[in-house]
Amino acid sequence: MRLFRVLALLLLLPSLAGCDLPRDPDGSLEQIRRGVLRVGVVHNPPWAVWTAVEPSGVEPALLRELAARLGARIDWVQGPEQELLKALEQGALHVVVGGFVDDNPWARQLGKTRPFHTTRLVVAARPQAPPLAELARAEVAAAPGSAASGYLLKKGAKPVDPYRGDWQYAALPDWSLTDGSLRPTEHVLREDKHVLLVAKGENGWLVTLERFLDERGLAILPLLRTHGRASP
Amino acid sequence: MSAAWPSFPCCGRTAVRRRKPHRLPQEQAEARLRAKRLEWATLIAMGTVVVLMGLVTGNSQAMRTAWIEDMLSFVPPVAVLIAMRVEQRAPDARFPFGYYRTVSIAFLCAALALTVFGGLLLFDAVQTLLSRDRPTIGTLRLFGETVWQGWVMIAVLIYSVIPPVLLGRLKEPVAKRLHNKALYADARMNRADWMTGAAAICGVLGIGVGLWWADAAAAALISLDVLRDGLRNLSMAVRDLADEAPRHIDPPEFDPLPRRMRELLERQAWVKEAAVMLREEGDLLTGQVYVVPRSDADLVARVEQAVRDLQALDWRLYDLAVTPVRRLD
Repeated sequence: MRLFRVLALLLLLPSLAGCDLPRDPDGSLEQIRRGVLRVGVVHNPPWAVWTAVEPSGVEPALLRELAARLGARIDWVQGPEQELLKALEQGALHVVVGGFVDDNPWARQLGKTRPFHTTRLVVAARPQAPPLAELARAEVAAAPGSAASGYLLKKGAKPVDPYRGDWQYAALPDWSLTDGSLRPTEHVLREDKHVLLVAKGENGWLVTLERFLDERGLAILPLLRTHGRASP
Repeated sequence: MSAAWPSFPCCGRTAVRRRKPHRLPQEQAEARLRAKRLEWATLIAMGTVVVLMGLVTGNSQAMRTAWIEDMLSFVPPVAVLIAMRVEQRAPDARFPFGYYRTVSIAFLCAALALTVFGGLLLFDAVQTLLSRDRPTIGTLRLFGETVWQGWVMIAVLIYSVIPPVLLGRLKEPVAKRLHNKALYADARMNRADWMTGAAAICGVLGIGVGLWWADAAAAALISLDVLRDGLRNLSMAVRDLADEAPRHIDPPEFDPLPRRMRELLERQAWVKEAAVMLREEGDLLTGQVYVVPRSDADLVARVEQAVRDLQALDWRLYDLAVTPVRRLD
């Protein structure tokens, strides 16, 4: 008897899957479609960049494309991270961009997309530099006070000021190593899984965002290279 | 253990009587073997369920609660299997009454675990409801498609109820035949598992249609069910250990066996009056029988015969003490 009920449920499922699920408790997606998409922008080049007019960067570029598809106008809100994330939590914004990563401390109070792109902070070498077997005691260019210099110190390497200019190795994001003047070594200092932040529980909007990001996944590296110029 | 109990200086070999081990009738011995196999099957089947659910649980509190409940469903089979192993040990100098109570003790521990977890899960669910915390469930990539995780969760939840419901149905008659309350409670909990699955599915579907509270409400329902199971089993285990008069497993009415035993005795010519006190010891029944003989002639032989006659009434009767007395008070 009960098994039959379970089987009946099984048969019912595909019909439900056709429905427009999941929906948002606060109706974000409804508001955005043919309405306004409110985007908070935290300055974090090349992911999101404040400008005098409209924000630029990888994530604003992606959202412009999505908004066009949904027939939405975008309201950009620029501000400090804390303020924007509180606004997001309260439902005053639909999404906040600014190079947020999967394990960011805010994620507990907020929703986030599945990681849509992974970047690595690597130790890169000049073409003529000898292979770097181990980091310990190696001189690697990293700006003083940067996270990269911290990782290097932890691993026993010696961070040097990039302005000296005569460095053989430098800590750089992997996407920036394109012009052939530097090659990545196997030393990875950090891995960043990038996400967009949304309000908790607005699942319909979240799913729309994730579908879009899945579809545009291959466009992200070129976008990064367009918007970003990294130096150690 | 042997270090702590190097010998029994107080009681030499002759001083301690050990009970003769209880022998199960053929039918019960077979049922016992089957029970063990079914409990192992439960552990394996629930293992697959727990792994699958763990992979997709995501942010649904209802599903997480159902997941924890499925993990908790390891506890009774483990308790039963351990008890069945220990229980079979022959009585020895250290435990002259044998190990038959292991079942009750294992069951008490299992029931306590269920109760505590049920309470914790309920607290968690109510807290989520009060804090209006909204579950966020996005998509995952499945065979190159982007699918809402909720659908995958529901599919796994449907799978998760099939093994326990089937196994519960198989275990129930075996538990009755063995008169094993722990096994019976385990079977009942398994059989009721479809409700947990259904509640969790409702929770996930609730999230799907934008009712954020449906999830925590479903979680609260599931935890209430765990808590109820725990309390019910706890009461049963405590009553067993406190020597309640024997009851049937289902419906839990008092067993008429003591009356039948008294009647059997009082039908005998040498018995003037008789009284019976029984208690459960694990799956078995033991206790004292008092008889007032009409004469003292041949009393030892008569008492020994009475023990044999009484124990023939039911396979569960074990190690009865028949005491001749002048009068019953």
